[in-house]
Amino acid sequence: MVKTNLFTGTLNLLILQSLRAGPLHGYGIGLWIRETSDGVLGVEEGQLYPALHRLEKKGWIRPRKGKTQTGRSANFYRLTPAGLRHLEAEEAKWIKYSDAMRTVLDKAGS
Amino acid sequence: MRRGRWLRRLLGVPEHPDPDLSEEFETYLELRAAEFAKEGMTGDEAMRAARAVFGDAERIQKECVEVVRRSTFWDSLLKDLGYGVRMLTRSPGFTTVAVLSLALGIGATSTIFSVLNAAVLRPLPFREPDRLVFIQEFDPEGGREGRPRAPTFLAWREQNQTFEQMALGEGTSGGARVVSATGETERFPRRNVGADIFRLLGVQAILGRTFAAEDFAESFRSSTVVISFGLWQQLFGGDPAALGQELTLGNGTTTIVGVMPPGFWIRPQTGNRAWVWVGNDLTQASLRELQNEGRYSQVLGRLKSGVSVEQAQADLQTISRGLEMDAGTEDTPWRVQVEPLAQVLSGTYAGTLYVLFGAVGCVLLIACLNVATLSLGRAAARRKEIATRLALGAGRLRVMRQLLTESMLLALLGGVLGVGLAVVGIKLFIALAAGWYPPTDEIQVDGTVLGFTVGLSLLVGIVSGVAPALRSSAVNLTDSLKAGARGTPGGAGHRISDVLVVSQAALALVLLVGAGLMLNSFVRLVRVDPGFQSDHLLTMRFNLLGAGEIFNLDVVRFTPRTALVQQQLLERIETLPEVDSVGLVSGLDLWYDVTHLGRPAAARQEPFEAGYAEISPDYFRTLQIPLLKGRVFTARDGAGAPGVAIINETMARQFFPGEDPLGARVQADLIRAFVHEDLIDDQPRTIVGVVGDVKRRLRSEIGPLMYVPYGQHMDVYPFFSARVPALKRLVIRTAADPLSLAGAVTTAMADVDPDLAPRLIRTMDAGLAGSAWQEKFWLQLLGLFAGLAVALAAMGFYGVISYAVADRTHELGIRTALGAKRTDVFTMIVRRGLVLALLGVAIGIPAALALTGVIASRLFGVTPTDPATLAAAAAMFVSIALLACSIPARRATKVDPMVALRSE
Repeated sequence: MVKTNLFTGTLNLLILQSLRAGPLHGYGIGLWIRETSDGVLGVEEGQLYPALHRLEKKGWIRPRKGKTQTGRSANFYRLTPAGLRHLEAEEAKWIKYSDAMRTVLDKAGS
Repeated sequence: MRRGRWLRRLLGVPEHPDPDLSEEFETYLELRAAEFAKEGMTGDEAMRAARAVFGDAERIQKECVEVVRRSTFWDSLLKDLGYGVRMLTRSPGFTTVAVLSLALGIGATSTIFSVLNAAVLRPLPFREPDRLVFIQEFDPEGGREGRPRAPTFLAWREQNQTFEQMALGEGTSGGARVVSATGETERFPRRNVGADIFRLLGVQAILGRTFAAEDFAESFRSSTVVISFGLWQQLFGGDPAALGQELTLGNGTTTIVGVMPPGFWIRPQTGNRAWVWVGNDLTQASLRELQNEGRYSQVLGRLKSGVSVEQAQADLQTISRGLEMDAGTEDTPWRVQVEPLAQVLSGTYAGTLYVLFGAVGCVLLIACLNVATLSLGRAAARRKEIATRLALGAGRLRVMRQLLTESMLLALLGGVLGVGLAVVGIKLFIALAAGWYPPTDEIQVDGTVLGFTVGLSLLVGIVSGVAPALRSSAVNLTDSLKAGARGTPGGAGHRISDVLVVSQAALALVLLVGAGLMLNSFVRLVRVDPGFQSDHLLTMRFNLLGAGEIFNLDVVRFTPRTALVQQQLLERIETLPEVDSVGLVSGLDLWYDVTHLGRPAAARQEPFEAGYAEISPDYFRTLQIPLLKGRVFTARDGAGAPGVAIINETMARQFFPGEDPLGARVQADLIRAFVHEDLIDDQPRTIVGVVGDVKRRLRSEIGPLMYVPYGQHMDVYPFFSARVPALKRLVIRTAADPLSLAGAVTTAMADVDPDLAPRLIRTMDAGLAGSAWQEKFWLQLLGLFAGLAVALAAMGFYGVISYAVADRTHELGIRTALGAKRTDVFTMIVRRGLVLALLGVAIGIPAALALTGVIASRLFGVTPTDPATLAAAAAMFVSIALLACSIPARRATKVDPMVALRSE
């Protein structure tokens, strides 16, 4: 099970991002991630679940039992205030980083 | 898996915490399959595809469980800690006592560890100190050790195969009179070192440089000096302009070329670290300048990497043997001895410190046992609480962990306080040790000590927590819950606390015996009769040879002026007000071979060794040493008069058995061991008197001693022995407070010669008491440790008996109701304490007998197995233990039968 920090970090960020608009269950989160960024989930979509447990442990998301549209029971994950704060902080970091990268690349290209 | 289960439970991992994700996964797969179905797959195909992209569900489930478990461990630890803190705050009495005893134990142990760390464990502050060695020679017959002679040193340095570098170490040579720019004169110690010693040690100057070839252009002695950081601060306030400044050093001037870093020393040194280093560049060429081949300076070496001490020793031994063959036979050739420098420097302290560390370890162990005893007692009171937790489904290991967490908390609190105590303890140790370990400013609580204390606290937590945890968690559920608040008199619990308290007693007794032996020694020592009237005497020392006159490679010559200075000094001091009489003495440490000239050569015994002291005529009168026979010296026993001597009682007895020593003719030779050729003979002397024996130090053995008039001293001394007669001791008798004369005497001395600087100005009584300082040091430390140990053990007794009384309140109530007398109850309770104390004594006495051997060399006048001391220690301990037991026993007699029975 090879997992780089980049992968874990990105996945966490994507999960939190997916929950920004409102609670989702596991499949919904997976779908959102697949649509947003191809390949982050890798070959195993099930890897989503350990990540969900890690985030739950950190207190960034909280599950609540619910029913899907097809009537099956599932955990609906909701972003906690702490999760939102973390997400925003991470976002700011990423933007700063990508801005810096762009500047470097622009200079190298010209 | 089964083996791991107890550990998992101890760590608080619940048996079935596993989140069941199968339903969750089913939902996911169903929705994912629907997605594939939309793309046109059949139901089965879509499900297969969904499973394929999902991955191994079983493994993912396991991963999730792992994530959850990890959080459970930390969560439950936090919960335990929170619960522990609540429990400890709920019984503040117990917590205070436990934390304080552990803090005392940990603090004392950390204090001694700090000293051990500074003196023995910490690497020397030099580059690659493991390769540094100390080289000397020893006499295989006499067992004497000594420094090598200059030609030997040079041969070693030139011919060896095993050393990267070899250099002369550091030798002291009196004081340097330093005249600062403002014209003020101050004295600082002056150290002679090999020219390349700094390079050998691998330490560089922080300002300027160390010695270089140019410093030795004119002489083998450097025309420059390197100064210590302390001197730089003191004299120049740390001004870099100190470089290039000229200093007056003795009779010449010299230039400062470098300043060494703070804390740098070659020989451990205490106090004011201000001194100057003068370089000696010893070469074959300079050897001819010296005209002396004495054993004059220590030698240090840096081994080539990978070379062992033994190889180096064999190498140098081979070279020495070659020298002996070249030189023809000598008496017994001395052998080479190479030792690691660290071992030489720490050797003096290591033994003592390990003994103290052992003693203080005993104190800590007693503290641990004490806390364990208290926890056990408390656990008895908590039995219901624990039973409830067990009944509610907590595993036994889980409860044990809770109890261990509590003892860890206690130990860590004790550790934090202990660090604070160690800081104070180090100050106390330094005050008690009074210069015993020279670089005392290096003793401090540093990272190593902190690490040690943390580790120690954790260990203490386990040691003091394991027994109560094991014992308390093994609660019989139904019994405990049924018995209600009263609790059952626990059989096994009492047995464990009995064992603990007996162990405490035994350990405390060992320390008490050690302290008792030291007390016994000390009392005997200070009662020793020194053989003279030691009160109302002022003493001081000074070096007759002014700064710079004495040099470690020169022959020392006493000039007529030297005799004149002594005479003038005595005359000046005699006329001071309040001075009754004044005397001068020197050289008691110099030993000579004495020959009886009156006996035929064949009848002469083996060489008779005696001490040799030069004194002024009024010496005996000043000290009030009794004259037993003949006469004392007079002013007429001067340089030109016939040689005379006075001997002490011991010499009269040993050298002249059954003879009258008066009138006998004797001659003294410097013992051959000191010089190999040109024995320096004293003049023949007639014995004119016999005086009583005198002890200079309380502990010293009285040996044969010969006094000669200071006017009839030898003219020439080889360097190594010249320091002894040159170091003079002035003794002044007065009816007034001796110390009140100090100022006047010092002024008088400076008037005679400004180079005469008195040192160690004190009363004779203080000096004698000072000679017992080692015994005092041991007595104070062991006394302190024994006091702590006994106090802790007494607390243990108090605790055990208190809990026993609490446990038996009901029974005692019945007994009282049935007519038992209060005294009966009291006796019954105290008897139990007595049995425990006697058991402790029964174990402690043999243990003490086995262990006191380690302090045998510190004792005076008592054997390590002194029965009186053993008996006194045992009696003292038993009485203290009984006293501690009598408090709860008295409480037991006050039990009101009605209250005790009603509590049912």
